[in-house]
Amino acid sequence: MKARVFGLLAALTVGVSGAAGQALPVSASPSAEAPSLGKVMTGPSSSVFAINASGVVTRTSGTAVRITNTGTSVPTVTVTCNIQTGNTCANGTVRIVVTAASTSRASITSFTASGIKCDTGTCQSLSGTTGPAPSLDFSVRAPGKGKAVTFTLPMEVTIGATPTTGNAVYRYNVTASVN
Amino acid sequence: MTRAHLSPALRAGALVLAAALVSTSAASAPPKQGSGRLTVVLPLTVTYVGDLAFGRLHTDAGHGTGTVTVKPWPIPARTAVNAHLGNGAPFGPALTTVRGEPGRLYRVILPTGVKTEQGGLSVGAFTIWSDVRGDVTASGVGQIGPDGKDTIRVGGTVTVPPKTKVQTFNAEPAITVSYE
Repeated sequence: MKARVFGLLAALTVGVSGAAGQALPVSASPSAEAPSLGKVMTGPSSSVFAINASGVVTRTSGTAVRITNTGTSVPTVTVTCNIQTGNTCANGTVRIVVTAASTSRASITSFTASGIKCDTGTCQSLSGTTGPAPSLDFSVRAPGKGKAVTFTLPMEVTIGATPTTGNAVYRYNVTASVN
Repeated sequence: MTRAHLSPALRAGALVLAAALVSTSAASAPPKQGSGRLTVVLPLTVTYVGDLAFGRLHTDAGHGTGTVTVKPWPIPARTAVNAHLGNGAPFGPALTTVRGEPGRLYRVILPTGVKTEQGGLSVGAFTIWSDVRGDVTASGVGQIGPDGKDTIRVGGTVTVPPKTKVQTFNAEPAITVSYE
């Protein structure tokens, strides 16, 4: 009976953590808003601005004109495998999901995970969607205990036709877990 | 079964598992949210209203090259050096209406010189008056007013050769504007 109680508790613990994964902390640099496009004059049709991994901004469609003609900062995302117990960070799989949050006048319509590195080296067993795509969902072999997965996040921002003037904020979410 | 029935060893095992669960929970982190920003502004539109008009004028044979200057402010004024000013034709600055985002600064770009539509006389030394910001000759920066518009008034100087007969002279300085 005692053994059965202990075994039931253990199975419950493994079952919960195994199904949902364990969330990992995510940070982005720069911490300030990025990428920001500055002042944009809009046109009668929607427009798309692409920001590449170097921060170069290019209008890929539409008639909007970006008044601020300098480059911008592209976020670098860092996911740290900080699970101290067991060997999850050594033998597990890190899953990273990037999605756009709903906004009004401008929104992110495409992401790319660029330059994916695990502890500054090449990641093993990379699979899934790394873009360009409206959302990203990819996995890599865990980089090791206390080590990080990093990548830059080029994206495309779409501005609606003749939106209301003023500030427009476009948001994205990054979640990460390890199994 | 109740907890009172667990042996000390089993209780210790349960505590270890509970601690592991707490540790797992502590490792959790909320999703990271990032954002970028842009500022949507109205396009600048430019409406050319009227030419830079020097009115009627002429020069004599014996006084060399003359000049006539039109100043756009505070009220249009016309002055002459070695030239004679006549009546019967209006004079005044070139007028351009600029519409855009209220409060935004914009830059006015003018050519260094143009030719009059009559006789091809040289016109230059432009002066710029913004109805919102006043004399902006030095800075070249105007501002869209609260009503979403500004008027740019451009004055200038025409160089008139000797023995130019009485005539009306106009010029059309091409104006380019862009947001600052």
